[in-house]
Order: sequence, then structure tokens, then C-alpha cells
Amino acid sequence: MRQDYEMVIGLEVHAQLTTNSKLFSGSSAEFGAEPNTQTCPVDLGMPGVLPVLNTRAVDMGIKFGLAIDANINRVNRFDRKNYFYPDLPKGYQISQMDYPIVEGGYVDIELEDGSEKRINVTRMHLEEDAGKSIHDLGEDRHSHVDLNRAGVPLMEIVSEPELRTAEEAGEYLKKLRSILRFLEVCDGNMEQGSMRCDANVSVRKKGEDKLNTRVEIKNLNSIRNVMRAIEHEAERQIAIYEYGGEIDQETRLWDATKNETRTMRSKEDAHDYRYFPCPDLLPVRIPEDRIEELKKEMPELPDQKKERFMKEYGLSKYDASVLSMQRASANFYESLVNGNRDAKICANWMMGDFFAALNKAGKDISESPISPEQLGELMDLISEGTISGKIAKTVFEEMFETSRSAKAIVEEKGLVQINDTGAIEAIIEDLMQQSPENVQAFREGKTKVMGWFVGQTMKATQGKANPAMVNQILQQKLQG
Amino acid sequence: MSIIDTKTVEKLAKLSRLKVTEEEKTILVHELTKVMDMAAKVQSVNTDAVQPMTSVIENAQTPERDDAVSEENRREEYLAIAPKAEMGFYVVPRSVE
Repeated sequence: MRQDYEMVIGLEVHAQLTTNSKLFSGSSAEFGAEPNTQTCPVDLGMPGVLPVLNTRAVDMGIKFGLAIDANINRVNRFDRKNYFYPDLPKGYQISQMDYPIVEGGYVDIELEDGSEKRINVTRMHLEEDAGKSIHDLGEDRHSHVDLNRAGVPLMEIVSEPELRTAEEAGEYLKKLRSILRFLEVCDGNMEQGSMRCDANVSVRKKGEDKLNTRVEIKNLNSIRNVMRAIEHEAERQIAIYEYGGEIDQETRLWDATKNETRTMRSKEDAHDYRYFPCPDLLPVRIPEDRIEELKKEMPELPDQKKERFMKEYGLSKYDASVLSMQRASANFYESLVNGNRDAKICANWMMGDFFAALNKAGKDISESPISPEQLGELMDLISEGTISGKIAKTVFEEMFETSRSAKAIVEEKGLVQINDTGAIEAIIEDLMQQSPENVQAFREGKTKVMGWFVGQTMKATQGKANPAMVNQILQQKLQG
Repeated sequence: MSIIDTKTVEKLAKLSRLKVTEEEKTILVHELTKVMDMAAKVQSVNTDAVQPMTSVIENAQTPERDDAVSEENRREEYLAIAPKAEMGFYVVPRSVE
């Protein structure tokens, strides 16, 4: 992107809540069921029914507000957002317009260059999801509608337009997802649509204060796509300004295969939602003691965990933040250290070989073929000197492949480290006899041949010799 | 006084998915103007120090229910009363271009 421009980005995130039932009815809210098997007269907009608010959805909303240090509105209200679409049977969505449950708050993000930035949150409100339309099934002129999702609770989280780069947007989403997962209010799966994101993007010349016309981008189903779409949209807008054109306020759809955004609807067809207070619902009033009770249920959040990892385990900020971002990896790490193992070595192994192996296998940490206890056993074998760090890598690969214990693999393959001074000495003396020219070279100051001796000794022991001992004995013998 | 004209009526009809004849438009302009005039009277009252009213029941709050699934699958009954259904879906006129 041109250096004289900057992006102004605000994100709207829809997070599907992991409640059992819907926001206003007792239908199941579970994902992935057969079409239309999880609906009831309330979701279907039948006459004569009334919505009744799911208490757990409200609790989840309050917890989220507490997690981002926001105001919980003691009185909030549901409104009707009116529009016609086949996946919205009532003809309106119950949402919150004027009095959302949460206002303010912030999310702190960390960037690649080590800097930190605070992104303020404008508001979070509760609303019901719409159903799903499928357009490429059966006859051409028809759409098929599945209403299982209609009425599933959502949190809409709106950020201030304070994000300035695609990287910042990506980090904000990662942090938000991590908070939602720690709170266990949303599983944060963007590919499945349980977390969705719309991006509002505009550009301006650096140093300007004004906000230019923004474009809303939809259809972003991964963090990577959000970042790519933002980059492309910003380039498009800059090109238009540079040619003296104007940006239309519109909604554009991201096409991940074509790498471009295209017009979905312009301002002229912009919806006129005619919001008004939902007459079927009374205000939501949240007494102080309800908030106090929920405070007690608050888990340790990513930032708090990061701080504790730095303090308790002496980890660097980077290591602590990588390990604390996901609850599963944080738990794995703590079980691995288990109160007494070397915290730094454990961190290195997890973030090195372990994460690499998971990545290569395309597995999530929750699907890891080895448990923290198993990896811990391997750490112990290294620290006791039973195997070298190098051999440990081979053992690890086999463990990951077969889920077998480190001890069993080491015993079966005879990988126990040779710590026997006599045995190592014998090998070295042998080598020195076989190649007196190299001994000579070393004694003439060509200390580089030391490497050759180390290599030959390790080769002779199939890598099992204790490297520290090999070094020490070689130094002694070669210096004569 | 009022801002209701034929154009406004057409826009409202479009938003509400209603088909309105030319004759009805004239009637609606007249009727909606009367409604708006009445609203204008209400709006002329000074409400600076008045809290917006969210509900006619003072201090009441909306009831909440436990997060439990209480509904069973009655798909076939619901699909049976839809104008068109197949493969477990409601079928509607195509909603995108």
C-alpha cells in the first residue's frame, strides 16, 4: 500500500452463543442438525406466540462486558429491526438498538514488532440469528430455507474505527476469539460461521482527521480472508481517489477465489429497518447482585494468564502470549511444567517441535496424539541425562506418530545415552590412532578438525554419546 | 405540515412488500397525513426532562427462562402448512440474482 495513505477500519463481529436453547424459545440451538428439525412456533413467527428471554444468554453478555472492562447497562432493551427476507419468518429481527446490554470496553492487541495497542469497543448487543438460505439446490428459480439457526443467540460486538492495518484487524479478531473461548460463550469457529465478521473500511491521507466514505465488506469466513479483503479494498479505494474519483457508500461482498470485492448493494437500496421497541418484551433489568455473582464465575482471561506465565514461569512476553492465547495450549503447558519441570525448556519444546508437528499433521492441540504427561516423560529423560536433546527429537517424532511412551521407545531402540567415560574414551582413542593426520592438524592449531572428531564419535555411537562428555574428553585427549 | 406524499407511500409500500394501486395511494397519502399531523401534535410537547418510556408497565422487567431445550422436532407438521417444501426445506422464490 502507498505510504501516504492509511486505512480506517472498524469491525462488527457476530458471535454465536453456545447456549443449549435459542434466545427467545426452547428450540435447540445446536449446530449441524438436519434442516428445520430445531424450530418451534416462536421461531417460525406463528401468530399468538410470545418470546421469552434466555437467562443464560444474558449472563454470557454480562460476562463478556466484564471481560472487556465495559459498562453493563443496568437497564437495556430489545427492539425490532424490520426487513423482509425468506430466512427471517417474523419479518423482523429482535435486536438491541438504543439501549444495548454492553457499552464501551476495550481489547488490547500485540503486534509483530512487539508494540501494543488498545482497541476500544463501541458496544455489544444481543440479538437473534436469522435462518439460512441455500440458492443452488433443486430448481433454478427457487431458494431453500433452513430455519434451525433462526433465533439462535448472537452477540454483535462493534469496534471503534481505530484499526489502521490489516495486521491490527487480524490481531483484534484473534484476541476477541480467544476471550470468547476462555469465557466459553462462543466456540469462535469462523469457517463454520459461529463467529462472523463484517469490516468497515475507508482510507485517507496520513495526517488527516476526517473520516472518508466507508465501504462495508461481508462474507469474510476466516481471519486470513478478513485481512486479505481489507488490503484489497484499501488498494481499490486509493486507486479511485488517485484518479480523482469518489467512493460510493455501499456493501461489498468478498470473493476469496477471485481475490476481490464486488458490489452487493448500494446506498439507494440500503435497508430502512424502522427500528422500534419490541412490544412483546419488557426492559431487561440487571441488578447489582447478578453482576457480582457472575464476577465470581469469571475465568482467568488471556491477558491475565499471559501476565501470570511471565511472572510464575519466567517466560518472555512473546512466549507467554503464544502459550496463553488458546485455553487448550495454556492448559497443556501448565500440565507439562507440572510444578517442577524447567518452564523455559517446556516452552521451547511446545512452541518448537510440538507445535510444528501439530501444524504439519493439521491437528488442533485438542487432538494431539500425545498428552502433556507423555511429553513430560520425554523432558524428564533429557534432564536426567538418559537421552540427548538430539535423540529426543527422534523419540518425539515416533511418539507423535504412535502415541507410545518415550521410555518404551528409548528402551526398545536402545537409545539410552552413553554416559560411560571409558566407552567414549575407547572410541576416541581408536579414532586418533586411525587418523594421526587429523590429530596433528589439531595440534598445529587447526581446531576446526574438532568438529570432525565429534562427528565421528557420534557416528560410532549412533548419536547416543553424551555430547558434553564427548567434547570434554576430546579436548583433553587432543591437546595431549 | 406533513411530509407524506405519493413518493413516501410508494417507499413504505415497497418496504412492506405491499401492492398499492394509484387510487389507494391517494387515499393513503390523505390518511397517513392525518396520522402524522396527530404525531406532530404529540411532538410539540416539551419532553426535555422526561425519561423515555420503554414500557407502559413502570419498573417491570422482562421474564427470563432457564436455558433448556423444551421443544421437540415437529418439522413435518410445520412443513405441511408451508406453500412449498421439499427435502426438509421450505422452498421460496429465489432470493438472490
